[in-house]
Amino acid sequence: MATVAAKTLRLSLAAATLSVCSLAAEAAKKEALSSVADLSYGVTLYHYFQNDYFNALSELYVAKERGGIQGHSDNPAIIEGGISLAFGMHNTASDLFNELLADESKPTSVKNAAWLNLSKLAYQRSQWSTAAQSLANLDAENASHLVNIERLALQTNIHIHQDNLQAAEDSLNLLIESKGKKDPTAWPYYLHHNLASAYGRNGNFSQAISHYQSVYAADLTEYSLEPDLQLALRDKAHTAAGFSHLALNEYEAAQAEFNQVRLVDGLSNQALLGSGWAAYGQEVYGDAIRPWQELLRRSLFEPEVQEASLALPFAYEKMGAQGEALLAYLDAENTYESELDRIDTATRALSDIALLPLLNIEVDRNSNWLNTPELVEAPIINYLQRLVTRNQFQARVQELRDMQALIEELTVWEQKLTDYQDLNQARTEQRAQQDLEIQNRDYDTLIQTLAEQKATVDTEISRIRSEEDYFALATDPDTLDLIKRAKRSKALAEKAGDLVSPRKQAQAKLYWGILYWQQSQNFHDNLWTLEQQRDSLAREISTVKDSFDRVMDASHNAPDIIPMQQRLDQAEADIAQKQDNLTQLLATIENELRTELLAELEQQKLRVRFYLAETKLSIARLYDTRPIDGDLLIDTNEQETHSLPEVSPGSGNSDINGNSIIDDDTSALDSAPQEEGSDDA
Amino acid sequence: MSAASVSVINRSRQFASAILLGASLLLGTSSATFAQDSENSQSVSDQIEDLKKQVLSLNRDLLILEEELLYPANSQVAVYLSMDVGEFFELDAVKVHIDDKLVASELYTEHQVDALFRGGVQRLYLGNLKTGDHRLTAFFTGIGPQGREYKRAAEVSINKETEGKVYELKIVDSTVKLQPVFEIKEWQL
Repeated sequence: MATVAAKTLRLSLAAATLSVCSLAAEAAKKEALSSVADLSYGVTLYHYFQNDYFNALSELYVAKERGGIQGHSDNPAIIEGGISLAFGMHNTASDLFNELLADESKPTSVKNAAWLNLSKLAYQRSQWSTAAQSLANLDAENASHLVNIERLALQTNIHIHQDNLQAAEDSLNLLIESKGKKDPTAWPYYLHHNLASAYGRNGNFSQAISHYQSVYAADLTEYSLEPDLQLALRDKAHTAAGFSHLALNEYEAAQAEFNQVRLVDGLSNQALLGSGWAAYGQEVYGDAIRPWQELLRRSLFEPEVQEASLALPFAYEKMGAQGEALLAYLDAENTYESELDRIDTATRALSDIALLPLLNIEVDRNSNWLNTPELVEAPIINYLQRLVTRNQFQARVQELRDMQALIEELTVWEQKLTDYQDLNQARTEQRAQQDLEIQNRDYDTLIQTLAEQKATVDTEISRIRSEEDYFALATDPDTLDLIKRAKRSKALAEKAGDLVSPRKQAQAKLYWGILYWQQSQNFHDNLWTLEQQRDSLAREISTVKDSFDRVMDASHNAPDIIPMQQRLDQAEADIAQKQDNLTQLLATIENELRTELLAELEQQKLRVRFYLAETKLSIARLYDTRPIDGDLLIDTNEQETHSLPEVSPGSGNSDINGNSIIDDDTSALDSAPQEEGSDDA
Repeated sequence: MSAASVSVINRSRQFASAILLGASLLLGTSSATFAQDSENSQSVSDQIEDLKKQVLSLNRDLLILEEELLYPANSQVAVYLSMDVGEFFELDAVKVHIDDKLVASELYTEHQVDALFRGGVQRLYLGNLKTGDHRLTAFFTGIGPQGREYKRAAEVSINKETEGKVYELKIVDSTVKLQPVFEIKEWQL
């Protein structure tokens, strides 16, 4: 069941990824790629397409805070739901899709996307009937091609989990018919494999083999899957098909399947082991020995190698090479005892060792951390490698990565906020300096003085208007000089009285009169101009006063600095709190991982003990069957004569180089031999 | 097949079965352990999701705060990069100059180019600009048609007043010329 659950999880994760990608691609297709109506939407996609879900969601959150993304219809909501799903925020995604469905006005395409994703969410939670129900709500007739392909793929997987294999077959056939010849979707490969595994679990090995063969029947295609993935999937299918043939006692067919598996990755261990048993079944013990010897060159951490250690001497026995058999049993005994010691050492080490540095997830969240060189030296890393192939463990590691990534984000913000605090402090100091400067320059008094002077001008203008003081508005220096002289002449003439001739007096009055007349002519224009200038001055003084008041307000209340300071302080506190929460959660997950690892070690120990016990029994059996004449079973001089053909790595089973990225934790691979064992037991 | 060989095979199968049975029993133990763990991890998963949401909200607030602090709206200038199709140009690098001063540069990875190719838009630069006349120049380097090295520039004049400025550098395929075209579009805020 663990294997089934693990497989389910992996496939569902793949489904989620493919689905979100296709939805985003569909969303993007509806418009020219360059014509994003809202740049935030484009930035979200940019992060999302690089699997940077955190920044993609952050961009969406910021856009929502600023009024939402405009001009992209419902795509942002679908994208947010999809990214939330990919980022492991299942409840959030579920809420978002349900919100979309609750709105009657949403178009069918949006509702279909929501139903599909809700179905996936239920699938990931192993709620098969809910997943099926959500899928049934999808309007298949009006769904796009991509959505329909995903719907059929998901439906097939759901049927498999519900053990309705005929319905799963039907869905898969429908998918293959619908996809068209040129559609590069990889779904059929996965689904054939899943279906084959399900048949294998049910003991229907013939059907299982048929579907495994479908996995590798198609040509290697350039677009459907990454080449490594295709080859890895083929290895997996060949191996599982081989074990299925073994279960049916079809040894030659099994051998043929195992021979197709590349020798380059972890999966080849199972193929080599199976290949040995296939030859053994045909009683060609020499051929059984070759793959097992190859296995024995590999790490004893692998269960297949452990099994081969015991199987090899058994084959020697069958060949009548009792001496070699005993030697090999003794070697196996030593090896198993050493392995038990190693497991004990690793178990003790695990109690003290910090797992997170060992997992090395902080180096690069996208790296293949188990391949990091320093980890290879770690005492328990080989056991970790066994664990990492399990999806439950991978899910935990993904959670750890997410937590670690969040902590790193917050650490970056923590450092930034320190700088921003400094920046704000510098602004505060600059503001204080400006405040001092304002005080020194006494702008307040200056403005007051200006206002007083303006009041004086007002009074004067009022007087000129009321008294109609025409001469008061003269500004031309020549005119002013003439007025001065005329005034003086008129005053002198009046003062001199009869001493000045009437003609001169009249002349003085005339000049005065002319000037008076001239000024009176311009008086109203000049007065109007003057009053305009006065009003303008009043406005300018008012503006200056307002500016000054604002500066003083900014200086005293610092509307840009004090609130920012408060926000910065609050943000620092929030960051510290979230970091604490994350660290605690990280410790919880680490402890869970430790428990899993201890359980893994315990399983290893049980398995090795079992093999050790079998080995000891076999050794005892061989000693018991020692020839009566007392000949030694082990004659070192005779060992050379019993030497068996050596195999070179890669002979027979290897064809293409490549590294598998698919784990060995498949139900198909495990189920065939287990079924066989169970039947015989 | 002789009776003897049948017997050998049967015994062999018993032996193999015993080994495999042992392994399967061990696997059975393991599945029980994982089932128990699965229940415990449910609440942990909820906690993780809750924390993720909180951190995302905090990150949103911090991004807004940062922008308001460092790039006030009245002096802000933002430069984005987009790619329409990109069949005729394989982008390697972009450099952005404002008034002959390098303000942003980027060497593109395969993932970044793919994200742009699929419709993503990169925020390339966010900064401040004083009011007045300026010049924005973008240099694009990559592989053009027929696999030739390709370097082109696009330029736009900026009349910066009191509102922010947003520009989009666009790499567009010209189906008429069968070569890439580089444009700068100003977004009206």
